[in-house]
Amino acid sequence: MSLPVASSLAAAAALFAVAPQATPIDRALPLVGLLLALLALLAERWWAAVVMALPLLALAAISFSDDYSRLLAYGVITAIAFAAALYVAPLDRWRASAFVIAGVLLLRWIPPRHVVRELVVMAGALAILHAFRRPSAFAVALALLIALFTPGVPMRTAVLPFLVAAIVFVVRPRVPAIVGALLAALLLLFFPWSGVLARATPLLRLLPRPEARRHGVNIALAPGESTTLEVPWNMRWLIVSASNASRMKRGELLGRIDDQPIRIGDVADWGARRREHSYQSRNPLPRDPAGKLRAYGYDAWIDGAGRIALPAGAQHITVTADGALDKEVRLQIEAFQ
Amino acid sequence: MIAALIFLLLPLVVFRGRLLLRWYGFELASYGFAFVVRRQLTIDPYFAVVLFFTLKLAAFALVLANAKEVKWSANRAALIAALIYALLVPAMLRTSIDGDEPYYLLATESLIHDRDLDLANQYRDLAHSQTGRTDLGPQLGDPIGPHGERPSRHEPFLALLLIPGYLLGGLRGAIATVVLFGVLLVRSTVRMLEDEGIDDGTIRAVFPFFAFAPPVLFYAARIWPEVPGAFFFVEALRGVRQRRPKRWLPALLGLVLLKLRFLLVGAPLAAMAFRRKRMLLIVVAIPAAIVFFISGSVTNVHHWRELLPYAPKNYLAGLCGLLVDGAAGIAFQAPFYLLGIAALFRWRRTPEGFRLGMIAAALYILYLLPRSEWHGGWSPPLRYIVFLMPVLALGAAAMWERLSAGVVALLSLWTIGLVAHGVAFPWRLFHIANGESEMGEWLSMHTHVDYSRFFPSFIRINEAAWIGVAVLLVLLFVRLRSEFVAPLATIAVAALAFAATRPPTHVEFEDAHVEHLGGELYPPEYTVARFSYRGGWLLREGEALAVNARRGSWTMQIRAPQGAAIDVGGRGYSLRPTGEEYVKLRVEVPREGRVVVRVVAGGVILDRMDRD
Repeated sequence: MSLPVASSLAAAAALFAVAPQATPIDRALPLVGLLLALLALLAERWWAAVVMALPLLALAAISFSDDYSRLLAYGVITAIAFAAALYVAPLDRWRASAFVIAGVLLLRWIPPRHVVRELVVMAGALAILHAFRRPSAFAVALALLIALFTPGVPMRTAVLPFLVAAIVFVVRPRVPAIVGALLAALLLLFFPWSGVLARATPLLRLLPRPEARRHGVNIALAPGESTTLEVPWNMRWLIVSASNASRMKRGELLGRIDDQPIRIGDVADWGARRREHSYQSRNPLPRDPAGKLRAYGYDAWIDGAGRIALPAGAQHITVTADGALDKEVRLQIEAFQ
Repeated sequence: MIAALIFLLLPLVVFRGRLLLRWYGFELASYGFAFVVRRQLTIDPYFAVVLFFTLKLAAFALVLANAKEVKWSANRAALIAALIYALLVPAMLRTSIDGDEPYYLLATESLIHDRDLDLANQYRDLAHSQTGRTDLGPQLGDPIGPHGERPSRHEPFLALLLIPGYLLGGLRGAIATVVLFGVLLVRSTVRMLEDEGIDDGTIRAVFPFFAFAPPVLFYAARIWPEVPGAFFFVEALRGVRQRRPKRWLPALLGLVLLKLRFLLVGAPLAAMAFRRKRMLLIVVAIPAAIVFFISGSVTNVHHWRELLPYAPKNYLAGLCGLLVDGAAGIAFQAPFYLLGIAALFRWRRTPEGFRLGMIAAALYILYLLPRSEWHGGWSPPLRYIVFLMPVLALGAAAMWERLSAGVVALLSLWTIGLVAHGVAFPWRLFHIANGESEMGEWLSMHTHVDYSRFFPSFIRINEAAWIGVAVLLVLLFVRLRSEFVAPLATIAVAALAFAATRPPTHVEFEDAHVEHLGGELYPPEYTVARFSYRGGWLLREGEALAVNARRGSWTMQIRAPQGAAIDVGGRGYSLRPTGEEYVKLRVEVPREGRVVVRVVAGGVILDRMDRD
């Protein structure tokens, strides 16, 4: 075993010692470090510079006590190190394949689930890479992009990368390396929340928002049911989501707040953006989303809660679930905000 | 916007051909990446912007050092420095000028408006001063004239040099004058490196570490005599090496006129340059006469007694402090210059200019080391040795070939951190010298764990100080292979995190890890030469603080002028009046973890607590 490989392993082991155990991403930090260290080896003469990402990851691990800042720091460090290695490495097919495998592992394998499907997606990403006449940074980035946005569940969706590979084989695009590096960096920036990036990209803006002050309600209304609520002082919105409503389309009526209709589009099914459900869901993202982050990595998703403005000066409101809803559907009143 | 414009201009100065196009491709990509990251940030947006441009500058320096399609000369280096320093002026002026700066500016204003150096009327009318400070008064030890005049203790040459700039642009004009000296310093240093036979590639690699890194960067846009002094010193060295008295004689005079302490550098250099020793008198007598004319004393506010030897331990503390102190040492505040220190151990193979510079500065360093303000006092770090940095850079350049890429990467990362932090938060460059460092404080404040104990301090000597010296000695003599740098750095961080989980056996109550639930710093932050006091935390009745401590017996160093009653972790202790003396109080910490110290009656100053 060569000295660089041994030292990379030593650094990854040190990350194991330093990483907090707060999130799956923290627990996967040694793997992240190991992958970056191995990619650094591919950067040849720039190895020493790229591998400095490891002490930086360690520093980030001890410096930020709040989860979001710490994970974003991991993302920024990983993105810059990955993109820099990709840009400077003398790419041949083997090296480019290593970048694709490492990238897909970072984006889709934390935490590891559905191994067979994931292996198929990985094969598809490699097919895209090999469809290019010559391996390039853009080829790697495109393979990662398609792999990320391939749902994988149901299995038939895993054909998407192979379709893209076929198109690439015909078109053979040539794009400057810097574009590829930038694209790869933008994807890997969000690897701690890659599931949100893949299934609800616009909701990424919710991540840095501080948690708003809420007054919990936690009532689920069956079709036709209604409830009257006293509006707590200084609360301006009602946080609402739906349950068992992922097949409903935009604009379909869910219920009412007094006379104001609540439709799919104002809110969505609570679990519609989960890894296993996202593809089959017909719900659009809520117009004014108020969901919370659930899980990390490719499992990460944001629930379908939406924020609906309360009538000005209202002391009491009556929320009614539409009587025409399917009997399993529930209108969930989560909280006042 | 201005930063973006300047970063568009930078490559035009040195890059050409395809490299220029590729660089602009990178420019676009970096802004694209930053645009996305910006929306996700929760940290201070200003710091994020500064960090972004610092990283871009580092990338620029990396390409400059390694690319082939580069146009390079000392003038181009100066132009690059001018562009970057132009950005530095508004960044450094985010807060009012500080330390000695306003006094130099007041002297300039006095010279312009009153044509004298008496600042008494300036102190009375601070509202009309460009200093932006209304809290100024005569400094401790300022001379008093026969008719009650209050000239500043600082030599007036810098104030004189600032006049044209001040007349053109007020405070900003004055700072621009120092920037101009900074640009000239960069140009002269690059020329010196060329003269001493350093190849172009190495100069391009070393140049950013000198021009855009601490301490030169933090003094290049501040009204201190350090950067002009460094310029005069380099010019004097070059003049001596080229045997051109017309160059070195005025440069040396300028150096000594800026600060009388530079006489300890100028005199040895002149002694080495003059064939007729009596000519040495020119360098000594002219500044002394000018100082006598102004202050009424040949030594200004200094005294001949300061030249007498101090206790040996003071020399050791000063030397080790300048090398490894976490807040004020080269290893932590300007690690690139450790290479210059390493060059000392390869003396015969170093360029002659380096040897000449170091010998000339030896006497000055010898007199600096034992002084209590070796760390610079209320100023950005390494103040007293800024003038020596071009020489150390020359030594570093001579060592560059021997350096592994891993070490360069580590130095670069550390330097990027220092630059981003110092530019974004210029007020943090001024430290109260209480034995903590910025990094230790930051980590401690966020975690309430005493991280400061892991950073060497020779201001308040701790265990890490001697470990730091040992590590430095190893690093100076062992050539660190690239393969070991990143793992060692990662393991060091991991070890730091692991060690931090153990509560300390020694607590300084003014430190950042202590949760202060009331009370105030003692003596107050802006006390002149606060570092020479025994600092602590002042608590009055009902106020408290909390620390992480181990279970068992501890000895507290405490002062209660009128007597007091305190509660430590639920146990009460009473103190008789101690007057101005600190006394030892044995206390029992009932369990490991957070311990609250509350004042039940009276008032106390808590200095420290040691486990028995």
